[in-house]
Amino acid sequence: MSFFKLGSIRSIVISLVIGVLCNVYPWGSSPWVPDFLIVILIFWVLQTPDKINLLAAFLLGILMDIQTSQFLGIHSITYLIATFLMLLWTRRLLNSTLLGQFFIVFQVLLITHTIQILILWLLNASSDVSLSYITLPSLIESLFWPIISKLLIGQTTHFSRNQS
Amino acid sequence: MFRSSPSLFNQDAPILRLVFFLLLSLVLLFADLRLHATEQIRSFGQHVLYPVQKILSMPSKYAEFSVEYFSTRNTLKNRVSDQAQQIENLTLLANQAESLESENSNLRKLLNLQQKSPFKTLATEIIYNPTNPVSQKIIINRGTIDGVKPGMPVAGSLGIMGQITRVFTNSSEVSLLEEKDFSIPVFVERSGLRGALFGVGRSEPLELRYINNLADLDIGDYLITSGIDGTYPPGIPVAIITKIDRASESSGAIISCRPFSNLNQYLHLMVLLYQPNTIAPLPTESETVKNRLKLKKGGQ
Repeated sequence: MSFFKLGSIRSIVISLVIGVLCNVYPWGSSPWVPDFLIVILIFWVLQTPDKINLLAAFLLGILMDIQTSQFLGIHSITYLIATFLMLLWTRRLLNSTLLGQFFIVFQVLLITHTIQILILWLLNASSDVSLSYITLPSLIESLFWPIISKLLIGQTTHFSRNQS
Repeated sequence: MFRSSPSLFNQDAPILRLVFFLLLSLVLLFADLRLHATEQIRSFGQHVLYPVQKILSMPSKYAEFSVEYFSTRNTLKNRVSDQAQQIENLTLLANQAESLESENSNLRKLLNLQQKSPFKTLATEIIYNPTNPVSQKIIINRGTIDGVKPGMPVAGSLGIMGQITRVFTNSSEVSLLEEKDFSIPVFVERSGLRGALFGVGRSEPLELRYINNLADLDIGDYLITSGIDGTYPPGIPVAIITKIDRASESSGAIISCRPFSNLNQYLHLMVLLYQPNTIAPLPTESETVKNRLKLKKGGQ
């Protein structure tokens, strides 16, 4: 496709906007509703860390805090940690197969969601927090990973990354 | 020659930048939690997101609309006649209520009691309820333009549902009854017992507190707003008692209640534009002095 070119700004922006739209859609307030944006964000963090990095994670996190009407900073901390873990494990991720990537991403999301729930629990003590609030969204989100990789990997290659 | 194996971790992961942004987030969090200083960022963001939220909430509304559009003539006819009947009944009740109201206000004047403040209602629609694992909130499509202010009660057709906690230009945020630490002063309709109803958390029953262990309570008693705090107008149904657990120790009974309005059901709500016109007057010094003088005169 010539419309999307090798992880261009255009493809990044369009996919992130789609992620925001998916998150804004009124799914309801069930705890298992996945965060679509975080998957797209960490995908671009892996592919184009020179364009999408901690600053983007911070700003998108603030936007999602406003959307979910939580205290400002909760989602941004979550996104920052996910981004950082992706940067930390970039080499491991790029060297593994799609299945291996799935497991590493699941790990990243588990850690991120655990931290998010911990913060929420600290701010709002004695609200009951069950393990499924962490595992369910993490699992659903990491199931999106192969789909998003397949969809977007046609536009961007590891090749472009190694060149830069 | 030895070659070090490729490291498992990316050595140049930007720890310093992470720490910087994390600190920035924590500052924001603190500013929001303690100082409430982030309203401008929030209202700006909400302003940007509002059209998107509005458009994305369309499909569910369209689904509802199409169901109505394709309903048969017969059901519509039945519904119209039902509603006409209902309106007649309600008019009768309303007339009666009006006469009672005027009678009541006359009696209150006679007895020199504080007048009840009348209030208007504002119909609203839910735009969405934000994904949030620990609390229950909804966003409605009325804001400062429509005269909504923080603290105003929100009700469904059956009773109180929550309270406005944040207001933007076109939309506002409502905390529902189930929200943890939500409290509302109520009294038991049957016995007139006063207490306060508290939210415990998502999909947990509400709790009636500050009531004596031996108080006269029964399962199925109605709780209605007492209007003592001045936030809620008196006499609006809130909840029904579902379970009473009389503790053996003297700490008091645990009384579980269920809200009248199903908090997850409605699309349309009312904001009660209720602002009590008088706050209980504080005794001024001059009056107390006058009283003392009167007492002295009386004594002489």
